[in-house]
Amino acid sequence: MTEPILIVNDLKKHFVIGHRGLIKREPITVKAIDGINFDVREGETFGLVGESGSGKSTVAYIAVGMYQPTSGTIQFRGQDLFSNGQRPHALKKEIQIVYQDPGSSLNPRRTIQQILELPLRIHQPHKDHIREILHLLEMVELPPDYMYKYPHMLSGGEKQIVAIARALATDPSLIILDEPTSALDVSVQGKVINLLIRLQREFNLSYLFITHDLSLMRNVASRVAIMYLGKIAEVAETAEFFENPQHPYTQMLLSSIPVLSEEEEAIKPAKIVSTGEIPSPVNIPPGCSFHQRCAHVMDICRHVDPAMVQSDSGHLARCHLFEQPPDVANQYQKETATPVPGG
Amino acid sequence: MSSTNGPLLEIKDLQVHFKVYGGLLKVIDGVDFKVYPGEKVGLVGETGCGKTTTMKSILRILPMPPARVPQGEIIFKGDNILKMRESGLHRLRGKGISMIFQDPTAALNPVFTIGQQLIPIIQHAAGDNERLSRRDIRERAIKPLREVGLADAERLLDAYPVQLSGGMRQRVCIGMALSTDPELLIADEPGTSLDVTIQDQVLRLLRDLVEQKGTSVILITHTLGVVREMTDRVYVMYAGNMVEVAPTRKLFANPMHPYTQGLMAAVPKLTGGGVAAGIPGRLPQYLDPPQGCRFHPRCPHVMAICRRQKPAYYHVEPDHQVACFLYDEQVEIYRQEAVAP
Repeated sequence: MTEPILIVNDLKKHFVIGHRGLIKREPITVKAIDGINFDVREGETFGLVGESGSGKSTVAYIAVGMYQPTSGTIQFRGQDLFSNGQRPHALKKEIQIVYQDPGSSLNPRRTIQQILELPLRIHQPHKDHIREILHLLEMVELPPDYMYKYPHMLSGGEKQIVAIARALATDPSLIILDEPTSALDVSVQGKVINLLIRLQREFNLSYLFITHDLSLMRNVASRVAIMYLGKIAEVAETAEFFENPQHPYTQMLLSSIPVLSEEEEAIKPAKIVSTGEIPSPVNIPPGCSFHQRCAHVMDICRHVDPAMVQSDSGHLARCHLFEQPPDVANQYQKETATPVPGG
Repeated sequence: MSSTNGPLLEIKDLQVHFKVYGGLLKVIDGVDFKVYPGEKVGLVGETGCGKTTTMKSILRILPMPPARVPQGEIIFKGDNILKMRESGLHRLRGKGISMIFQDPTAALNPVFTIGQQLIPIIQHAAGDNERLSRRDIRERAIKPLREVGLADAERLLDAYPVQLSGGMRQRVCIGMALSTDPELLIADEPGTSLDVTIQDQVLRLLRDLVEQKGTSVILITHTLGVVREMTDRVYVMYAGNMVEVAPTRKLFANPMHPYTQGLMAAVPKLTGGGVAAGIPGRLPQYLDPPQGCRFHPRCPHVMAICRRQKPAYYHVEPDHQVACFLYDEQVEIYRQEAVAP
């Protein structure tokens, strides 16, 4: 359980979305991911939670190799995923992905058989594909005659289950789940989640579970990380995370969740009221990117981005409320000593 | 909650059918619904259960054909909306009933400024007998934008929707809907397309505004938590039928219909405890809906009578009604029948 399967180290992904200026062409960049560190342990479900534009899906796409990182590394079982050019087949088969919307991630003109056959043809060319497909359908509890159906004949939940079967076809060790249930109704969500939990136990899979639903993470993840504007705000073990949230953004997020009972209401940090807009990722505020919405904002927050530190209860939180390493304080002194022109 | 006065809006036994290639979709199948003055009513159900269709039929903005209303009445302040002429509808929409849609990006026209879209509403509300100068109109247009907490309202009138964030667009839509001081506001999933911290802000704003103005609200949503925080009374809808209605606190303390119970159990809780298996099966096809109770193919307590007959409303308490045979006096007899079919 403790050995990390995936280590993300100071990962950055900046997109150039245009240029500014006529003569001195300066690129306009979106810092979708701006220096994040985390690891996914063997056999665990690591929850990566964030609002839209926080960069959580970009992490997923880099991990499967759809994007090249701008800098930083991702290691899978000690092997750098982007060290030398094209990723080898043997490595591609180990990391698979399930997308948010099964309506658009399954080709409408292919039968389920054809959809499941493609990864088998590439990664296991010598096996009996029909038998493998039947085995896959059995694993995800779909009847064998679904082979001959087209995606439009299935319900939303069944489509997502086919997408999970497709991810399983290569016999992976790590599956990246990019909001796998947010397009589904809540009564169907349970079936898909329980299937994922069962498969994880049976095949010792590791999940990187990306979502915006904190209540779901409470019940599924072993550890949770919160992302805000391309950076991780807080990481902790799930129970600790919900009982004792440290970062002001986590507290705001938790207090905004609509819940069903008084017992749940009691868990929410009620005093934090959600204020302000999420800034555009093109124009991230200086210092701590959350300072404009934060109830505990101090002067240092406006100038210096805090470092990730361990708090007393074993959380990792990136906030000036917790004791910072000395170089952060030095940077603050430097920033405030030189007057900001015009400002 | 003032049940001594008559309801502001009453829907009686409404049916809506859609004629499509291959047959007739019986989407709304005998819906009863009431809103009293000043009340906040929730309408909960999953995708495709007919929530939006019901609300669109109130405003008569369903495309007809293919939609048809073979049966039912929608009474708003004594008038049957379904029999209204175009001129009556013109007065009703906006001044009587306003609507906020789920996706503010689609609700606002991208090629006109906020002002160009808001000012006609102000003029419509003022009517023909009031002559307004351009400055008056601008002043009046700024007021609703200020009310929804948009700081720079003056400048926003000349802004295009793309220049605003999702949360700001929904605030603009709320401002527009309330600018005519309607008596009833229909809010169709007003927070669903927004992030959770922004949804929280927008819903709190909406609740404060309607309470301040005394507007009645119908809040349509599939998020049970939102209903609990926002409403006084809740209708639960499944496959074109109202299956349960109760005051919000009673419903959450004691859900009675098997569908409501399943739905509540399926929501992941902040207190932990794992994810429930959910409700087996799927929403029925409207082309050929199940006989009897439309929920019976998915119901854990199904009896023989459920397959034969559509359940009536049982008054478990005076204000708590549920459409399920489990609450019939003869339920024991029905149960035995289920054992030996």
